[in-house]
Amino acid sequence: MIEGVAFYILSTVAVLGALLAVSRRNLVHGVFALLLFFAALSGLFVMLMADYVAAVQVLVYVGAVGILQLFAIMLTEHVTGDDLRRLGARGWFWGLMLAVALPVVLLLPPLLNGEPPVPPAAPQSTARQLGSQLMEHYVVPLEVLALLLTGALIGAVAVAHGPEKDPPGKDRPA
Amino acid sequence: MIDWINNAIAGLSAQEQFALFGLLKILVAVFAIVLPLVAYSVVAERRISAWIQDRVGPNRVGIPFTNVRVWGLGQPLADGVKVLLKEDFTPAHVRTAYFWLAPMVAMVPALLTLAVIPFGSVLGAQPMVMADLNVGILYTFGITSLSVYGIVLAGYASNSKYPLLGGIRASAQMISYEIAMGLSVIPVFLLVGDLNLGQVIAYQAGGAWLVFKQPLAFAIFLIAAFAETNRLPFDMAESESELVGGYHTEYSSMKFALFFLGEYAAMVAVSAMMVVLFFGGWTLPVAGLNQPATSLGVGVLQIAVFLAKVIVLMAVFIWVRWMLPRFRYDQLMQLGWKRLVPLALANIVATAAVLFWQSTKS
Amino acid sequence: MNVMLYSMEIAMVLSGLGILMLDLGTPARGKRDLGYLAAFLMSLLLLQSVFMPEVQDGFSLLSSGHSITEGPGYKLDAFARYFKHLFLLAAILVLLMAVDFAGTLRARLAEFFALVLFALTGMSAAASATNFITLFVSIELITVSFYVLTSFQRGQMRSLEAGVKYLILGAAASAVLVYGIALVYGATGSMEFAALGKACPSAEHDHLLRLGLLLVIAGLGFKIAAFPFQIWVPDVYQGAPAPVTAFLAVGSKAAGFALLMRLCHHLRPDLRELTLTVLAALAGATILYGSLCALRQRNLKRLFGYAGIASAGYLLLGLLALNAQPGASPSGAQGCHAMMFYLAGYLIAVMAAFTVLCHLDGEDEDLSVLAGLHARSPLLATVLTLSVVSMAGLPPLMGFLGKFLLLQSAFEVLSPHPAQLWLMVVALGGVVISLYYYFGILRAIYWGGGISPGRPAGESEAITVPPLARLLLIACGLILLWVGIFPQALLEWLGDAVALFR
Repeated sequence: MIEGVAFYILSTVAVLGALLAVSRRNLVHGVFALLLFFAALSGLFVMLMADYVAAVQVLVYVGAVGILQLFAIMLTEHVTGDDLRRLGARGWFWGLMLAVALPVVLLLPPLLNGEPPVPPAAPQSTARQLGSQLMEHYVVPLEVLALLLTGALIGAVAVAHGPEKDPPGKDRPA
Repeated sequence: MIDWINNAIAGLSAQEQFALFGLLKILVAVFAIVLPLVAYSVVAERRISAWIQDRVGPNRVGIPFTNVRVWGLGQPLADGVKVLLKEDFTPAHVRTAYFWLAPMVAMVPALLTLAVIPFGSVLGAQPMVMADLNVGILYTFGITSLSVYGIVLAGYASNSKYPLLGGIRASAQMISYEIAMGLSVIPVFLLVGDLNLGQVIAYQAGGAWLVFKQPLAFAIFLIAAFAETNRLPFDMAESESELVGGYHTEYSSMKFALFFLGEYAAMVAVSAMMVVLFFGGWTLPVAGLNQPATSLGVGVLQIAVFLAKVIVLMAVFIWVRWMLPRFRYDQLMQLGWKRLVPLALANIVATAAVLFWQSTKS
Repeated sequence: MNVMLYSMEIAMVLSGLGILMLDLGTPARGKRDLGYLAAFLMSLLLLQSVFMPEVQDGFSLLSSGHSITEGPGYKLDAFARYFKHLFLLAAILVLLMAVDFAGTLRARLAEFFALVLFALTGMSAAASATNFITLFVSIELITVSFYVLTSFQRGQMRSLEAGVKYLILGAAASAVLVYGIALVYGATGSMEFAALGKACPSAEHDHLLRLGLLLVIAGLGFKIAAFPFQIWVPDVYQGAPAPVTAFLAVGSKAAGFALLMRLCHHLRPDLRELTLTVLAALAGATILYGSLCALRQRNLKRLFGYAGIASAGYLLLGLLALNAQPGASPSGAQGCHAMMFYLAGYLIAVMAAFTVLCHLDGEDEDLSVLAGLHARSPLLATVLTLSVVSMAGLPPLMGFLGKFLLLQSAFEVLSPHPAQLWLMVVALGGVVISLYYYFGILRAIYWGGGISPGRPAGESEAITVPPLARLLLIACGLILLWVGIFPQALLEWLGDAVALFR
């Protein structure tokens, strides 16, 4: 009972946060809405008994990703757009249709059958098990991810700094 | 009386007992321990700084409405009254909602962190920890990482240049040092083999404290803790000589006081974490204090041991603040990224190598 | 766990990191040489892998007593090796191209070379992926490297624009892909491709699996630039530096196809029916879209972009054969054979064409820069002609046989299917249309005097091509001709690689 209520509250917060995050013109508001979404998601992970994932969600997304986004936004000019003007996205109707169609298609068979699918038993995953899986079975993907992050970091620096000798203003006109 | 209480408790279901004692622990820990500790750490800060600078410091305020001076221990009351009575001024140009939100966000994470800290063994049948999480340390790091939002929010909400600069600095600084901090404790968990803080204490009760086994980890953690709590020598977010007051330039009255208290509460939280991780938590290797308490008296004594350790570490915080000058911003970043992070990584690799060597030997 | 199994990827990563390290001590003038170094190292790796594959086996024999070709989520079979060789070859050519292109690139070269190697690592891992985790991380490694490489020409607005477009659309595609993977995992409870061959516990699970599979195909469709997911292609191809465009056109696409091939290979019979229909529709639409849009293009890179979309459509035809019911007369091997042969030809042709592009002096790659090329540099004109004719699929060049095999395999697979007729009409129509736009390029080379009013044909000075590039161009042209006329050797070699799909 309590779990059901908690689930609906968290889900509502998550959906609202996500909607706000994509619809705000003011980027700072958008980031805070996104943080709300991340936090609600972490709550949903707790409800799934995945406490490790929930803690990492808070640590990485709420704690680090959000603050980095804020940091980047605050370094730009014109931090605040006016929230009143709607984001003019063409084709929003089709996007909305797609977004509605996906859950409908997903839920169609159980709805037709009239019985909800049985959720599988939650695996008792501890941090230790996750760690040994990552370090043994999934070690190659882990290393590939490490390389990905290295590459992204190097690339970001290389693109942000530009060419070594010429000052940025002296590039040829585009 | 005690019988009556026992009977009343026995009449409750396990769930009700959990709720009752949980609430009790929260109330006692926050209002009887942490908040007084925070308040008196402010006095301690002022007295110790005065002592270091060869001044007298606040030694007058005693018990209110009497002439009794108890070494100035009434000071927090006077400070509190003063702060409450000041005009709560909200400048016209601020973003009001965020402006109100920021001080709360600054205060709350520090208190939340304490939820998983085991501050004693047991009292009666109750374990002296509010939430015994299996991923306790991750939880503390996650919550600690939220504390920067208070500062960033304040900087953004104030809508003027010094607070914004303070907020930007704080976000960069705290993200950087969080990495060093997180990396520095990994060797601890390699040794302990568990993320639960209770297990960390049990491990230390069985042998030497981790500060002796992992001195480098402790040193990195301590330095990162100064940065995480925005204390000198790393108080770049405030740095009153260049940014006026940094993120709290526009704040006054109780909102300012919340930032102020938040800083000390964060100090308490970080000290408590260090005590648990490196100084054996509530244990003391004398007179059987290493084992969970069997009587109420020993239980209380162990809580006292824990508090004593926390107070010593907080004294270190205060001492360092008044001994060292402020770093320059680039020096701060250099230290974080080019010294502490590689050192912490090297420490992880070295610890893992030693453990691997030991496991192959046996 | 056997480290030697991953020796190729490890060598690539170490070379990349080594170049970054060497960069610290290299004076600005010597940075180009790092590109030569990278290309040299990769050539060594390629030679070792082609001629002495037993070196890796030898080490694993030494360490574990038996030859290991499989790790968790990773398989080093002849199929994977073939694709790794293709990727290595592409990377070597791209690196050498980038060295010549350095003057125009005006960016940090060492990082550029390192990122090319990182992308290569991702492709190489993708060729070996046998579970969804490896699939996803290798795809992401490729894509993230390309986000950066695309926007590397920072001074140019168009390059930045291309990078941003690729980033946003790529992120959306990754989201679709990972959502699909999650649904498949939810249905099968396993990350392995092999689980796709087993029956699901219930009808609802099966429903999830089908939906997940469609989303995965959509996500990979972005990589290979199949029809509804191709929007990014023209702008990104145009904006990215020429070597990057070439790598994107060949490497990224081949990696997507390698993954799709492995994926389809494991499908259950009833799932094959589903994917057959979907892929047939995708193939038809892709060929049609690419061909028609290429018709009116005057920008060379955009033209190659649309032509690339069309060739992705032809490659999808080969994938159809892989989805034939097991035991059907044209086995999956035939389609696979055709795809791999086509990809090899496509690689050489695209690399040759883009190497030529790098040596043209025009800023905007308009068709008019080709005017009078036969007089200014007969070599460039000849090689470009060869590669374009090969892409158009005319005999006796390599591209002809590839396209022919693809069409043949698809035709045989589809023979009982009602969609067969119109798909064949579309495919053959695409071939005919392609003749028109490819010959537009030839016309610009040889008879293109009047196209640009400002520059009369043949009046510009001759283009000098550095010796190494000249050698490479000649080699590419000769390979296109030689393999086109005597395809037996390559086809036999491929026989090994497709044994998996028999």
